Amino acid sequence: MEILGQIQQALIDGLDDEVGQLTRSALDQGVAPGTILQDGLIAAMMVVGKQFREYELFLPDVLLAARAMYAGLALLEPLLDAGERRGRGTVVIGTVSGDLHDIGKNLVGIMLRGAGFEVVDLGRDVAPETFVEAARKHDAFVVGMSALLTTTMPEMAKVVAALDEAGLGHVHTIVGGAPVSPEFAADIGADAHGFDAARVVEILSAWVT
Amino acid sequence: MLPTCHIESLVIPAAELPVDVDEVRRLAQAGPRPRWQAEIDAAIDEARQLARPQACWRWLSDEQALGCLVEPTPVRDLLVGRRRCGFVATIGPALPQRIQTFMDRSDFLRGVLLDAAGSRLIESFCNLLERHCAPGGQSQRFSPGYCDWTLRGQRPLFDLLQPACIGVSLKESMLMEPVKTVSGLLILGDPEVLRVPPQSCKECDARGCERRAPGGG
Repeated sequence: MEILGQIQQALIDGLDDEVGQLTRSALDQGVAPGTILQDGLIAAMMVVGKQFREYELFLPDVLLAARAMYAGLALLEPLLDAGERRGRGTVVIGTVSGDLHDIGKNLVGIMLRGAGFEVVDLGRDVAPETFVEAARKHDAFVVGMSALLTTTMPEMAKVVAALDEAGLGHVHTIVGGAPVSPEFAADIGADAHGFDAARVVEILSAWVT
Repeated sequence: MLPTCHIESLVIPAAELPVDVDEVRRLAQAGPRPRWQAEIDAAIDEARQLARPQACWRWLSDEQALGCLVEPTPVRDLLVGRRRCGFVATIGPALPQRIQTFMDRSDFLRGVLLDAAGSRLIESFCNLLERHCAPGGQSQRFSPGYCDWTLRGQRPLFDLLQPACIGVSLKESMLMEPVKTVSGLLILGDPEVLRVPPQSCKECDARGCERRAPGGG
């Protein structure tokens, strides 16, 4: 469908008004909301994520594309059924207790939404019990944690342990942030290390397939 | 006008603070010039308009400074035998509030650029504070959370500095509000000597680390 290609290109170009107009046009043409979401918006964000990883696009390009994605999503969301709205699963993310650095975490949230995941962003300075409560409440399949300080990294281990203790050991965990390494992730029992937002999307996409 | 507290204070117009434009670009991952330059410049202008740089500081005795460390840290060895002061510096709440407003309305680009500009602005203010306290430029700053200095060091530091007088508070988790705030110790001496040796890639066990330096062992 040509209109889906146009939506994709407008989104990649970061044109939020155009994405909104094209989404309306697609709906008027009778294209199913779920199809517009999957084959228009999400497909385009996957391209953006790939180009970002390959340094063809930079963060400002991604942020404009994300805004364009949200412009389309705002029109589609009321029309999606519950399953479509939930998308590929719910992810709870947050910066761990004692840490305020959240730009990387925000980018992960933006990219995950763009990839069709439902994201519950708990913000910064999030206590372990808050991660657990949110994971339970939203039936999350992944909890993602971010830290920029070596002194707050141990909080990630507390979250992993708290999920286990709460009987939520089946919930996947992924950790990221400048000082966090794959070895650290393995040491604390996290399921994965997310080097950057694009990688997080890849890892979670693999988990749902 | 700052309220009077038992410590010294510094307040300056944000317009006087230099901002490293290339550092803002780096923080915002905006790639090479000239793309996004107009947006970056606009963010820096906006940051300067919103920022209200204020700081409080005081010279500390051995006992006071060591008390702020709480636990063993490499910073301890650097303190001994040197003059040092504790400080809290902030650019105020308006800028973080504006960032949040942008993010809430999905204007991620302006939010991220303003965040990057604000980060450089508070850093610039801390540099100025450093020159103010150590006019010869011979000093080094350390903050809780870095160099294995536990965040719990915030509590004794805040007890000594009472930064409520510049609008800064400490949460139970040891995070400061407003968020664009820096606290720490300023130690006088040769900055090249006053360094906690970074953990080099050769010393690190994370062999699979993607940030590992080439030839890092």
